[in-house]
Order: sequence, then structure tokens, then C-alpha cells
Amino acid sequence: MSDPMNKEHFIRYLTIYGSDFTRWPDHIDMQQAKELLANNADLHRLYVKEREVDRHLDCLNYHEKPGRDLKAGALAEICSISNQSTANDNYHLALGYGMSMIALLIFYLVMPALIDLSPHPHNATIDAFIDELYAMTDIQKLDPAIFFDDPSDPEQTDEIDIFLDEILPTHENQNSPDIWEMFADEPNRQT
Amino acid sequence: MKTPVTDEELLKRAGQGRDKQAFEILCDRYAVPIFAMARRMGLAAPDAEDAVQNMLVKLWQKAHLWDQSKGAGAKTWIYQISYNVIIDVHRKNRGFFGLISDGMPTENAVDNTPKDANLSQKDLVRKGLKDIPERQRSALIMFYYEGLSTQDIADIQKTTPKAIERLLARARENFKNNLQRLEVSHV
Repeated sequence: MSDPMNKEHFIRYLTIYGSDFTRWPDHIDMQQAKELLANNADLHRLYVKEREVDRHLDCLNYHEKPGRDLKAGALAEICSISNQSTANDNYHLALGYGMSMIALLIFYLVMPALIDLSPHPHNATIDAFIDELYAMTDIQKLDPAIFFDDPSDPEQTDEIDIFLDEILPTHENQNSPDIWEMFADEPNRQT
Repeated sequence: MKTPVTDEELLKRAGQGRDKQAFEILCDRYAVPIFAMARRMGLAAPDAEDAVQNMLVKLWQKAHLWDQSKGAGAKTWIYQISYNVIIDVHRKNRGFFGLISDGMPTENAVDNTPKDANLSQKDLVRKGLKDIPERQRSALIMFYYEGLSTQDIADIQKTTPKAIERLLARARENFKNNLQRLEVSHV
């Protein structure tokens, strides 16, 4: 919808948009504007002044060309920024990896100290005992004749019994003195 | 006949698809007009070239931020980036507290034409524009030379079309006065 054109409107548009009607907003009724201009001497004088302003402005109405290839310059700068960004990414990756390794190293060095903080301090006797138990589990030191032959074999059973009699002297075995009696006799022997 | 690809399509491809070919077409379309705008706004040719190159780099970096649904067309958005870059250069040139020269060259400085006595009409116009306040000058240049609407300029300067109309009217009035002053002083 076009605005009704009158002298005030015409002057307002003229001072804002200048004398070139093609620059005026689309909603303005240009036919009315031109008729108003043709029939009003005051408006015509104002119009001529504004046309002179436009004539001056038109002096610069051309596109001066830049002296260098700005597109190539921008593309080169973008590549440079991109490479720099990649380099920064690699740097941060390496930095992160290095920091992780340092953290692991520190953790490794500090861990023994943390273990030493255990409420159960080391005991050399217990350690030695554990070592002996561990040695007993060494299969090379076991007697295969005792532990791995057929237990149902009567000869084998006898051998086991003899072995047990030798290491476990009891009251049932009259041929072997009781260990407590041996201790009891000990002072008498010395005397 | 094949229709040319729109700025919107190119900007979308450059932003979302990181399509360098689309970006290069945008460079071809806008480098020269933006350079001309920077010159009209008073930058010396080397500064204007730096400003345009900077603008193109920013365009590539920020293209993904352009959102057509927010209203601004591709051209308006590109001019908004350009306007900001040019204003930044102006402010840097103006220096601390404006004590240093405002960096706005005359045609003489660039073309090596004689000063004062033989000012060309272009020199007069440049000087006339130079003395207009910054916002008025940029509004006038974007409207008159770049063909942007008052709505586009309002989007760029973050104001209303009514305010841009007032800026345009004052810009023309100031330009007219400056021309009269300059012509009298050179006659």
C-alpha cells in the first residue's frame, strides 16, 4: 500500500534518499511524487539542490580495484592459520601424553612409600617362614616315590608308614622313645 | 541458461560444508566492493587491502555461524563483518584518545596529485565525506554506493530503520555543508 504523497512527505523522502527516485522505498507512489514535483516550484528548487549533492556523490560511484590479490592472500592466511592450529593440536597432544607419563612415573615412585604406610610392618621372621613354605611347594624338592606312586601298592604303603614312624615317634611305637621322655631324660644323661 | 548460485547458497556451503570453492566465489564477488567501501570510508589503500583480507579470513572462520532463519541475508551479514573490520581499522588508526591522525587519507596521499590548490572533484567529495561523523558516513556509503536498504543498514549498525533514515538525512545535510565550505575555501 502506497503512502499518500504531499509536500512534507516529499521533502522528507528527498532529504533522506536523495533525488534519484529509484532509491526511494517501493511503497511510495512515484507517479504522485513526480506530479507534485512538476507542480511545485519550492519543491523543484529543493530537488535541484539534492540532485547536486547526488552528482557529487556519483564521483565516487565506481569500484576502485585493490593493488594485490586479496583472495590469494586470504586463502594463504587461512592455510597458515589452519596449519598453526594443527601444530597447536599436535603440541597439546604431545603435552598431554608427556604429562600423563610424568604422572605415572611419580605414581610409581610414590607407591612403595604408600605401601610402607601399611599398619602391618615387615617382619623378617615371617618373611623367612613364607619363603620356606614357598620352597616346600617346589616340585623338584618333593620325593616322587612318596607322593606320586600308587598308594594302593602295599610296598608303597609300608614305605609311607616307615617314613611316618621315623619322623613322628609316638607311644604306640615301643621301639622308639617318646619325644617327651627323651627331653625328660636329658638332664639325667648329662649328669 | 544456468542461474548463478546465490550468496546464501555459497555462504551455507562455505560454512557448513567447509567448501573452499564456494568461499572463493564469495571472495570474487565481495573483495572489490568491500575494498571500494573501505576506501570511501576513508582508509588508505594498503589499510583497505589489509581490512578486506582480514574480512575474508573472518568470513571463512565465521561462515558456520550465519543462520538464514535469523533474518539477515548473506549480503547483509557479509557487510556487517566488513563494517566491523573497517571500523576497527579506523579506530586503531585514530590512536589513543584520538591524538594521532585519524588515518583517513586524501586522494592526494594515494594518487600523488597536488594538494589544496588543485583538488579534484573526487578529493572534494572524499574530504566532504571524511568530515561526516562515522555512523552517518557509513550509513550514507552503504545506502548510496552499496545499494543496501535502510533495514539492512539497521541490521548492520544494530539499530532501527527509522534511526538509519535520520542518519541518512543528517549525513546528506552535513555532506552538503562540507562541500560548500570546501568549495568556498578552494575558489
